[in-house]
Amino acid sequence: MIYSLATLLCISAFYAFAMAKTAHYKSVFGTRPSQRRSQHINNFGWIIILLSFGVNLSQAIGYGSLMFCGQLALSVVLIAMCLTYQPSWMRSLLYLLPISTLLLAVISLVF
Amino acid sequence: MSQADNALTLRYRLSVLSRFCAAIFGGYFLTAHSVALLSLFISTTKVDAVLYSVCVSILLYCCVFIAVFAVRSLIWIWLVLITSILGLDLLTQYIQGGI
Amino acid sequence: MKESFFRSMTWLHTWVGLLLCWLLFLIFFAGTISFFRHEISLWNQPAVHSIAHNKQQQHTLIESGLGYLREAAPEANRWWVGLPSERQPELQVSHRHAQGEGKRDKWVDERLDPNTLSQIDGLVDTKGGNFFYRLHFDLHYMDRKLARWLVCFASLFMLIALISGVVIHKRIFKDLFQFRPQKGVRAWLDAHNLSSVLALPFHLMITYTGLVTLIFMLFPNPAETLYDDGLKGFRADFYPERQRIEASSEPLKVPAFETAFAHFYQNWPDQKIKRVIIDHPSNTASSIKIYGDNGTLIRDEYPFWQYSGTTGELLKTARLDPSNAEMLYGGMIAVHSGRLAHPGLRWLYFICGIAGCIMIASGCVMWAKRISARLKPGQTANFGLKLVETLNIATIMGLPLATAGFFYANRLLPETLTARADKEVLVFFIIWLVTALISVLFRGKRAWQQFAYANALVWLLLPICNALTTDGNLVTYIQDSKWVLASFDIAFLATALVFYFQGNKLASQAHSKVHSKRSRKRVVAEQEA
Repeated sequence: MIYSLATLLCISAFYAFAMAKTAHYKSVFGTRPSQRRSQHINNFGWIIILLSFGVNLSQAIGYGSLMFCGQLALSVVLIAMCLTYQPSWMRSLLYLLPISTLLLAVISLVF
Repeated sequence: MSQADNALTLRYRLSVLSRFCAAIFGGYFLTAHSVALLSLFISTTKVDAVLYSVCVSILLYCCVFIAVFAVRSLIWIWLVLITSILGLDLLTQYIQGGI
Repeated sequence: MKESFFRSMTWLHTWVGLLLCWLLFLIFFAGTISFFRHEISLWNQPAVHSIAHNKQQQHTLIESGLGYLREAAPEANRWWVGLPSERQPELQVSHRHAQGEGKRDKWVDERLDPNTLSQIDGLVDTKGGNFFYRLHFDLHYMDRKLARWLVCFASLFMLIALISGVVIHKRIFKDLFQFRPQKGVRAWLDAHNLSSVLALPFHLMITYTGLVTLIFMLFPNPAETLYDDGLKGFRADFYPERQRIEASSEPLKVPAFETAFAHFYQNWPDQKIKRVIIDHPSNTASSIKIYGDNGTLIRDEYPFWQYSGTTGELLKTARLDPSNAEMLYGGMIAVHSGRLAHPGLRWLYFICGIAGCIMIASGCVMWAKRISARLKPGQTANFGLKLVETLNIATIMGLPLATAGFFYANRLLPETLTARADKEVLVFFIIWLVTALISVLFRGKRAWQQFAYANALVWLLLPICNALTTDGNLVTYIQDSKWVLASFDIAFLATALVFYFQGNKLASQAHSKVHSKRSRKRVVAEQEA
C-alpha cells in the first residue's frame, strides 16, 4: 500500500520533469511555458521525487531503495510512452495523479 | 576516431589489439595483485578482509580498463602496467615474508 | 585533451558494447526470465497447480516431512525437507543415496501436498525455471568453467560500456522522455537512450553485483594471500555449513532429533525456517542442519544452526549476526538474485531487465544500420555486415521464439518420454538454431517483420495451448485467484501484442523508406560529430 503511494509520487515527479521541458509542455498544453514556470515545475518535481524516496525508505532502507530504483524505471517508461502515443492523456493525468495520490495517502494513513 | 577507421592500416589494428590486451590482461593482473595487497592491509578478521577486497576489485578493474583507453601513449601504458604489477607483487611478498 | 578523452570513450563504448553484445543479450534475457524461476517451475508442473496454499504450522510440516523420510528412505545419507513458501506451494522431501566409490551420490526428489501430506501425482520431468537460471551463467552446452569466464568478461564489457556510455551521452539526461518512433533510425537511438537511462541504477547494480557473484573465480587472489590453502581455507571459514561430515559405521539407535528441535523452538520461537537437512540420519555421525528464512532482508546466505543427532546439543551456528563485510558481500548477491522480492518488486525487476534487453538489442541494431548507411550506393553488403545482421535477427528474434518453444514443449511432449527434461531444452535450442539458419538466408526488413509476426502468433496461442492441455485457463485462474498462473497467461498475451505492434511498425516503415534514409544519414552524421 505504502509502496503504491510511493510509486504514484514517483510518476507525478516524472510528470513534472517532463512538463518542465518546453517541447513536451507545448505538446500537451499548446502554449509555451515561461522560463520561471518551467523552473518552478522542475523544482516541484524534485520535491516530489525526494518525498517518494523518503516514503520508500520509511518502509525499509534496503528494500525501499530497490523499490525506488524500479519505480524510477516504471515512471519514465509510462510518461515517455504516454507523451509519445497519447499526449492527450497527459492532460487528464494532471488531475488524476494528484487526486489518486491524495486518496491513497488518506487511505494508508487511516488504515 | 573516424579518420582512423577509414584508414585501417595494419599498424592501427595492431595498436588496437595491443590496447585491448593491455586493458583486459594488464588490467586483470593489476587488479588481482592490488586486491591481494589490499587484503593484507585490512585489519579485520580474515574472512572480512577477503570479502571487502573482492567487493572493490570490480571497481578497480573498471577504472584501470577505462584509463588504458583514455591514455594516448601505448608504450607508457604497458610500462606503467608492468612496473606496477611487479612492484605490487614484490611488496606483497615482502609483507608476507616479514610477518 | 578533454576532447580526445570523449572521443576515446565514444570509441570504447561502441566497440566494447558490440564485441559481445549477442552474448550479453542472451545473458540479460535469461537473467530477466530467471527472476521468475520458481514461478516458471510451477507453471511447468501442472500437477502442482491445484495445491492449495499451505495452512500448516512449520513444526508440523517438518515433523511430517521427517516422518515421511523415515518411512521412505531410512538408509539415505542425507534427508532434505524444504518448506513451502509463497513461491513454491509444495513440501519438498528429498533424500540422497551413496553410489559407491568414485560415483556421485544420487538424489531422489519427492514432493508432498502440505495440507494432505500425500504425494503429488502426475509430476512431469522438467527443468522448469532452473533451465533459464543455469543458462544465465552456465550457457548450457558449454563447459561450465569456460562459460563462466565468458560471462564474466561479457559482464565486465557491459559495465565498461555503461560507464563510457554515461560519460559520452551527456545529453541523455536532458531528452529523457524523447521517443520518436516515426523517425526511422532515430527511433532506435531514442529507444537505446530511453531504455538505458530509465533503468540506469538497475543496470549498473545488476552488472556489478553479477560480477560479484562470480568473484571468487575471477579474483581468488585475496583469499590465496591470506589463507595457506587458498580458497579452500576461505570457504571453510566462510561457509561452515558446507563442511562435509563423514559417516560413521555405528548405527544410531536412539535419535535425539526431538531434543534438538525442542531446543531450537524454545530459543528461537519466531524464526521462520527455510529448510531442514539431516546428514547421516541412520548412524552416529548424524547431524541436523536448520536453515532460517531471510524473508525480505537483503542477505544471501541463510542463518544456520547445526545440532548433533545423537545428543541433540547445539554444535554450531552461523550468520546469526553477520559482520559488515558479510552484509556487504551477501547484500550484493541478494540484490542481484532478487530472491527477497515480493511480487511488486519482482515485476519492477522484470521491467528493468526488459529495459536492459531493449538497450542491448537497440545498440546491436543501430550498429548494423550504421554500417549499411556507410555503404556507397550500388555496393553490396560485405561479410561483416551480413554477419551482424544475421546475428541480430537470430538472437533478438530467435530467443523469444525459442522460449515460447520451450513452454510448448513442456505442455505437448508426452509425459512418458525418457529424459523428458533434456528434450524440452533440446526443443529450445533447435528452434533457436532454425531461426539462425533462416536469418542467414533472409536478413532484410521483411525478415524482421515476419519473425515479429511469428513471435506474436506463437505467444498468442500459448495460453490457448495451456487451456487445452491442463485443467485451468485464464478465467478459472482469476476465479480461483491463482494470480501467478493468471499473470503467466496475461504476460504471454502482452508479449504477443508487443510483437504484433512491432511487426506493424516495421511494415509501415517499409513504405516510408525514403524518409528513413534521410534521417539515417543525419544520425550517422550526429554520431560521428
